[in-house]
Amino acid sequence: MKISFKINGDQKTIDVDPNMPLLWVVRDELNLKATKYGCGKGMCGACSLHVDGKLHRSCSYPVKFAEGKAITTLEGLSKNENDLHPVQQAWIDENVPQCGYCQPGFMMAAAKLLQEIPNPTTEDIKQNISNICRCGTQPRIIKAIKRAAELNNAKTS
Amino acid sequence: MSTKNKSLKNSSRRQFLNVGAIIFGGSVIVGQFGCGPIQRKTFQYFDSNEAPVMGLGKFNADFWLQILEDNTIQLSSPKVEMGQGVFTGAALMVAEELDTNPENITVVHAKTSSGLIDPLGTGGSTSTAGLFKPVREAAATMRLALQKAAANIWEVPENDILIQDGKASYQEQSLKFSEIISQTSKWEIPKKSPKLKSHESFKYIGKDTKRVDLKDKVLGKAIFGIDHHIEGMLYAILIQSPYINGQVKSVDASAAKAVSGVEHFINENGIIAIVAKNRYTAEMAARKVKVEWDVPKKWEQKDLDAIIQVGNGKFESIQKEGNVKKHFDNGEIIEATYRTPAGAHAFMEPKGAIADYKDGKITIITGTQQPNRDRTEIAKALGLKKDNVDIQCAFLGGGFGGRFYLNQIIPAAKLSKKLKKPIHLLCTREQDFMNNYYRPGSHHILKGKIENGTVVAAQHDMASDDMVFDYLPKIAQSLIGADPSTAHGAFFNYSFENKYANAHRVETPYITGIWRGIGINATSFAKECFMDELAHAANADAIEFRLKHLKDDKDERHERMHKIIELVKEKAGWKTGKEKGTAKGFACAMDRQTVVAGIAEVEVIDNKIGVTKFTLGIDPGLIVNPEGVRQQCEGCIMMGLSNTLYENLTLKNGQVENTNFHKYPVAMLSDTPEIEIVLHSGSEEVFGVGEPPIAPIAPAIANAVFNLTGKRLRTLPLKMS
Ligand code: FES
Ligand code: FES
Repeated sequence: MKISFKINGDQKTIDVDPNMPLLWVVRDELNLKATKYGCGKGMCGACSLHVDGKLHRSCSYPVKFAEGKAITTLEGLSKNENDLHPVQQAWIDENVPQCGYCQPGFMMAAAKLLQEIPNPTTEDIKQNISNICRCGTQPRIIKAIKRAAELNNAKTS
Repeated sequence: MSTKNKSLKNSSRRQFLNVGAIIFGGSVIVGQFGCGPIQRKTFQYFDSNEAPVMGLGKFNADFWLQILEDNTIQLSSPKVEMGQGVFTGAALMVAEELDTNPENITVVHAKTSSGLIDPLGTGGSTSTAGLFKPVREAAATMRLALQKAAANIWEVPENDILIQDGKASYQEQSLKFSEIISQTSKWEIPKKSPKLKSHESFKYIGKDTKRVDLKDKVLGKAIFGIDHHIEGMLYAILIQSPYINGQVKSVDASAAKAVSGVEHFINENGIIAIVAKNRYTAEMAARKVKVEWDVPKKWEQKDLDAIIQVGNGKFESIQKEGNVKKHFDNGEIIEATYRTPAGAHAFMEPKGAIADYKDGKITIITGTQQPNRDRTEIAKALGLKKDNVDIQCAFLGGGFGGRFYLNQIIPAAKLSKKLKKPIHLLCTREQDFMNNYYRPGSHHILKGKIENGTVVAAQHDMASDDMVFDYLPKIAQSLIGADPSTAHGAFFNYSFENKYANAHRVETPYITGIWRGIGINATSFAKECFMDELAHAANADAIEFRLKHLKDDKDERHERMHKIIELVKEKAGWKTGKEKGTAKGFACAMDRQTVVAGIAEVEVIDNKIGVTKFTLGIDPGLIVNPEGVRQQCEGCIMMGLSNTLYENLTLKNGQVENTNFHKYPVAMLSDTPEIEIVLHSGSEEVFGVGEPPIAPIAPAIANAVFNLTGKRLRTLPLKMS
């Protein structure tokens, strides 16, 4: 089935099984590898991305639902490398990643969280992001989200 | 790259090899054959020395440096980057000897085809320490070669030339490294090992440095094994037994083969696989393959628990000092039994590999901790010469000891050879949990006797399955006796006058192997909780009681331990009583030459244990990158906490019960405690960092729970009810 959507600003049409999870479409059909497979069952958040501004776990999102929508993956979060999204800038400032595998999913979740709660407390962060990181970067992720909020505030003030 | 660049690379490489090769302490055991006492000595040598416990023999660090056209210095690392930060540490070493900002240095994985020979693999907290001398020597050799070449260009004495910030300069003139290269056709490379910078003059080593892979990982550009894409690649999924030791009785793949997009169904030589044009099709079709399994025994967890019991299995004495028996013959003996469960690595990138067979040669792209061994295995399995097998390492989506043996590389290679196509083989998360090797569970009996507030005798008996024994040469097995990884940390480092430690090697039905911290997870939980019990029985402060038993002048770690304990105690504001619904607990450990101490602060709400704060102190000797050490400590706190409160791999009806993360919960953001890390460098030598900090986590938490609730929890994961 032919399905059309926008991804990171580009219009695409692909011809795949409509039930194929968006994760594999993004990774293997469109060769955007930042979105990761972790559990395939919506439990770890490694595959998180945005569809029409909403946060989704793409391993459990059949591509047919993306018809006509706009998808953003980590590759499209920042305008360009010299103008980083506050979340990515904060991630660099706090030296967050270890192995790095879970990080794209966390950054996508963090970007969404900041839209909903612009100045989250530690508790807000802990309660609203349920992604998994096995390397133990959680303490830095909490710091980085707060830092991203500050960067956002500085931008808008 | 120009041919001239190449010539520096090649001529230097041979030279760097000579100065780069180092030999670890494996040779120490040569010629020591024998009986009990020697086994004990050898075991203890392994336990307390930086010699890696994972392998014996020579370590030929075959890496080299190149100057790229844009004047970047590139190091091809023989150690893989799995998050532990070895690339950053190595970059600092190069930066130091070339007196050039680490920002101008890139680090990539060496490929086996271009000379990576690293029989030890990456693990055992040995990477940064192991590279410390050879990488600096390689860089220093390069510095001298560049100095000499610049001297020849300007016809001035080489000693007057300054090598700094990516260039050579003499008075007003200067040339970038890359310019020197383009003007040099013949290289003079010093034969002798160069003189290295003194530690006092370090400019980059010891300074907080952000990761060299940071930007790529934040921008999503970092490429992991399974991220590679080769034109024409097919996607494979293996059909594997959900049962422990299940054998195929019959297979019906008719429904699977009918799925559109399935290109092949393979069922030969023990490999059953679906190969399809995309991952989704492969997964859907694999679900339709009907297999009847022959299951020799349907294991239940209680069967395993009955095997893992002190008294079962092969007995090995690993510590025998003084006469414990005599002391235990009379008076009051304190005794306690501890248990730890089996564990899964559960790294976020499931195991996978890409194999590309072409014209009698094969390339494997994967995240592996042991490329050299993989190459040997593939060569054997495919009947190829090792030279025709190239293992290309990508970033690892976590290692933790779980990528030492990759069970999917051989099927991937065989499928690629058979189908003459590049093959992408990725385990499902369920396979990663169910068809893998695991950290073995353990059972411990501890006994101790106190006289006048002092421990006069103690004994630790530990039953568990092996972690590395099968992979050690036979000679090493007979020399060491007990599995050096499983029983790591099993004996007492405290200055008790009489102390015994025994390993009981039992066999469980699944494959067991290493997991971050190896045996020290279990041994340190049992011993450090028991030490707390002894302190309590002696009516002593938990910390004072330990300090009193760290009084061995011959063990320099004792003095370093005093220091780190003092620092941690102060940082955490150590108190034994309860405060606002929380209480603190202490534990410390020595992992080879690294000493660590930790204080946990916990709360219990609705019977659920929560860690509110963890203060961890570490003396890992010379610190190459404090920021890197802190990351590893944080990682160990989170993984240790996860292991203490949640992780528990169990069997039911012949299968691993934990099929995915809902059945194998791990620590999440919501579990994150406040964290304080105290670093102290008590030695000029570099020791390990990746695993030692995990040792005190579980016992510190359990001891804190006792201080809060009066309940002594002796089984991991800790549960209030
Ligand atoms: S892979 Fe989608 S949530 Fe884990
Ligand atoms: S950084 Fe490795 S899993 Fe999160």
